[in-house]
Amino acid sequence: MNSRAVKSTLSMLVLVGFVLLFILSALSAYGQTEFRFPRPEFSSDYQHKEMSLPPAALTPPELDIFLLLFLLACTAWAVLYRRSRNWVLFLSILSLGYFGFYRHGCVCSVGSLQNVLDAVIGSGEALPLLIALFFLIPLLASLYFGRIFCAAVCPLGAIQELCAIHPVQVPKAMDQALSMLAYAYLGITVVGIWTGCGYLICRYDPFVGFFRQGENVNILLAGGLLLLAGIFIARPYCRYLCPYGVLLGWTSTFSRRHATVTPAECIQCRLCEEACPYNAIVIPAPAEKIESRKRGTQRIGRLLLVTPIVVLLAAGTGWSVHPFLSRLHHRVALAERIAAEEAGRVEGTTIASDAFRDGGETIDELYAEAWSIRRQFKPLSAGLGAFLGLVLCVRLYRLSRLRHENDYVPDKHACLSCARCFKYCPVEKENAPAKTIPL
Amino acid sequence: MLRQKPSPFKKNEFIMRTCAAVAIAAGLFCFILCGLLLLNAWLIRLNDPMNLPELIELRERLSTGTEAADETIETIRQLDLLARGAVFTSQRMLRTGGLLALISAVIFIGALRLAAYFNEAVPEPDLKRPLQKYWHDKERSRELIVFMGGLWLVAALFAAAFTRLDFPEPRDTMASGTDSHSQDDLSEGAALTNPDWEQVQKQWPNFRGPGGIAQAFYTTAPTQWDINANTNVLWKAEVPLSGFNSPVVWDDHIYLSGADDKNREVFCFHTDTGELLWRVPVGPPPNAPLELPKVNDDTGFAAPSVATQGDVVCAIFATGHLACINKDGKIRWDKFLGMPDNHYGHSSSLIIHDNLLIVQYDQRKNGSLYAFHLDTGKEAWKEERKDISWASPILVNAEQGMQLAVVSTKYLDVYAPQSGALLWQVDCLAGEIGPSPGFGAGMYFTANDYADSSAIRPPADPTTDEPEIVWQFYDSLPDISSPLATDAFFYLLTSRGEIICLDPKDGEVVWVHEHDEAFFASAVLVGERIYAIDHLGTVLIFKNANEYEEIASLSFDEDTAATPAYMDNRLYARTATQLICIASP
Repeated sequence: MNSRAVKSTLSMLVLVGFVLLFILSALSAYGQTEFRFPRPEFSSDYQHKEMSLPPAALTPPELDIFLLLFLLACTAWAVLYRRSRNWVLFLSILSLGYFGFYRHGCVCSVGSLQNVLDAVIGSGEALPLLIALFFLIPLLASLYFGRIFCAAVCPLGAIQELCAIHPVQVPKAMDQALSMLAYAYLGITVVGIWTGCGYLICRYDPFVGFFRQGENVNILLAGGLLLLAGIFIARPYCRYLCPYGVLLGWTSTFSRRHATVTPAECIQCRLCEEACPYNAIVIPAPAEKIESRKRGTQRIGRLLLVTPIVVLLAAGTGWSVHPFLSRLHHRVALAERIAAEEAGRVEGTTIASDAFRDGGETIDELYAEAWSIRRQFKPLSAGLGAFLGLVLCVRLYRLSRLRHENDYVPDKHACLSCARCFKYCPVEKENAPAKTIPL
Repeated sequence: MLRQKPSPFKKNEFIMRTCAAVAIAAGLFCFILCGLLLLNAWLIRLNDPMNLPELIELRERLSTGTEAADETIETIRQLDLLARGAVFTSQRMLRTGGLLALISAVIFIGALRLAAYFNEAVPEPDLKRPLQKYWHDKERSRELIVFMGGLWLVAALFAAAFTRLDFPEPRDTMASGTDSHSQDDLSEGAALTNPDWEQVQKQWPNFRGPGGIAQAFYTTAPTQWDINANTNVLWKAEVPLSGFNSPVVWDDHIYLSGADDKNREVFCFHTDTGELLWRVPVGPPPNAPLELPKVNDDTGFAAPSVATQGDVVCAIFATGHLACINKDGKIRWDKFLGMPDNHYGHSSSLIIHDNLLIVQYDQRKNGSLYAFHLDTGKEAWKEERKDISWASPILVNAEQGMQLAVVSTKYLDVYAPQSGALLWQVDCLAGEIGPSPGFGAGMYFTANDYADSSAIRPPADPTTDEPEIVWQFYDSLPDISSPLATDAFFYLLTSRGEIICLDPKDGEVVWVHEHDEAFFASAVLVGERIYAIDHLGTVLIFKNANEYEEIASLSFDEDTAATPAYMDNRLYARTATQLICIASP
């Protein structure tokens, strides 16, 4: 058997192992979380100890903030000055270890978005300074350095980055279309917080189960599948789902000192064309056979004309889908469950329905509240639709606008500053350091 | 100043192969470990050590008190400890195994990365390829984004078209005239009073009166009336929905229920005027999708009588919907007990003891005897019932305290109503039991057609003594009407139209009166008179004596299956369509 055949066989074995590994990991973790049993019953006067949560492995908030700042600074240094992919990976491991496995994925900037929304448009709950800083610091950093938070500081990004072993480029058009999903997720998050649905980002965080070694089996499976897909489609959650990534993309667009593909003058060697798995390298517009200005202007004009119609249509569609969205609210879901049990459409009960029936609330009260929540969803669903319609039009506008780039430069909105492209660029400053940390 | 840098793409066959081997080894280890962990989890789930059948059986035995308590408790303790030990051992294995799996996964990924690092291909861009892809990509991106928008639109419209929130809109209860007729405002959730037995006896709180033993406290019920001539008829009121349940009375409120295949309602009438004070729907509203149980026409959806203790009235329907309603017509709490598995339709009436609502929910499978706290609806206790029944529970103020007696296909079961503990049971019945038990002359009585009628002397001390079947009677027997036991005589009213009087001491027939029509309603003792009503509404009033001595033969002028409520100088009867109040002049 030649060397190529050996490699290909090994690759297949590893791949199959990886699939089973994640599925089994998820299921075994599921097994851990589902074991619950009643406390012993005593006929004597024994008094049970008061139930309390085990103390969390918390560190002082100052340390969290310090580490966030420190890791951001180190990443900025590694990306902008050192231009070292190995350093970025090293910092990713540190971040994953601390913010992921040690802090169990919480506190996290992605989730902090919900706290901020909750304080502003939700329940009005006080926003802790720590959470506010975790929300603001990465955004402020991206205003200057680009998405260095995504590069190595976010534990969700780090775990995916480390699993992205053989990334391939998703066709750019497909990439653009799929990235729209993140806007939908952001919009649903806002609606969810506004209506009291809870913290949807945390509820559906696909990786927190791995950090905590225990979570809902469906979420664990989703996380496992995302990591599995991430071997080939790098960072699927960051690119196509992360709502905080949308905000970082917006702020990063204005970044002053964003990472560059080449440290000096681009020699148009085209070596980096296939380097970025995120399609975040802007290819220069070809000088020959350029699209006529008239055609481009007409397209943009039509787009501007049709935008209000699209937004209104999307708002109407959003409004019509409010019953579906309102199911995100646990009270609406409970009302549906209770109604199904009452009507005999389902067998048995759930923990939630049992708890409800054991409480003092009447079914009518539950129904009334569920209907009230449903009404609340009407304008918000319409708003969500309008937002998505607008996003679609803006995205089309950006794609219709002619960019006058002469060199291969990063798309500041999409670039995650992962430093993957650096080594593809053959040019380097003469005084650049020669040593890197081997990983 | 620029310089060309050395190629960063490393190639090292040895490291690549070594790392690939390590990755495979770590992956396999992780795979096997996860498999073992899963097996462990599956086994512990399958065996469910905390719910071992032996443990459950022992607990049941302990609760029924049929074995030496100390020995059983000790065995339960040992088994429980063993089960908990098994669970904790399994948990430790899962935790340790999970950690090892995580470590091996990290090694797997690390080794795989290194293998990939030392095997990375140098980029080889096709320099001859034109850059026209730029325009093509933009065009395709616009198309796909529009496509994505269209997809969202279709998905949203699809979701809008096919999403129906399956819970009813909140309903308003009709409570007209509540202010003028309610004695005092009892707001939802207010504390309930707990009337004592003396107070209860002066009311008609449930099916067949206080305790459900068909003996009226007041002895002044009317003996003369004429419905057509309106003689002694205080009022008549239409009942909005039909039902075979009997009216119950507390002070100036009469409660009953009615139902059809769409509606289930509880009605409250005023005793003096017959005015419908309120009607409250129970369960899902009429337009809500509801799977209906199969019921006989003779049973309907509202056969069980309601029960009250003054502050609240409770009702149950054949659909399994149970509700507790404040006397001002507001639902205090409601429950769905699950679709009853009952081939004729659920018909056991409710009864209240102290602060507990007793629900005999006997079914073909998974039947239960429930006690719910009246004020909150929380379950106080629940006893598993193995046999089906259509009879209703009774409460007996025995020397040892209050006893709750229920009958099923085989047994007369007597429980302690506060705890639900089974005090004793007697195997004395057979067939599909409809008549409820009776109590008189210090004995329990049961009867069922094609089976027997039994007189059962309760044990003086249930922990040491056994109940005694004093006699059994095998002749003509009732299948719907419940037997009436007085201290002097025991009466059976059959569906063949016979009234059979037995001597409660020995079961000898004292007399038999042949009547032409069937008896569905139960006979009631009022003073020294017995009221027996046939299915056409003919009321036979006769003396509680050693021969049939008819006092009067009257009529409600309409088919009647419900047992009237007998109060001071009044009688409240429910006919097929009406509620009638007859008052002594």
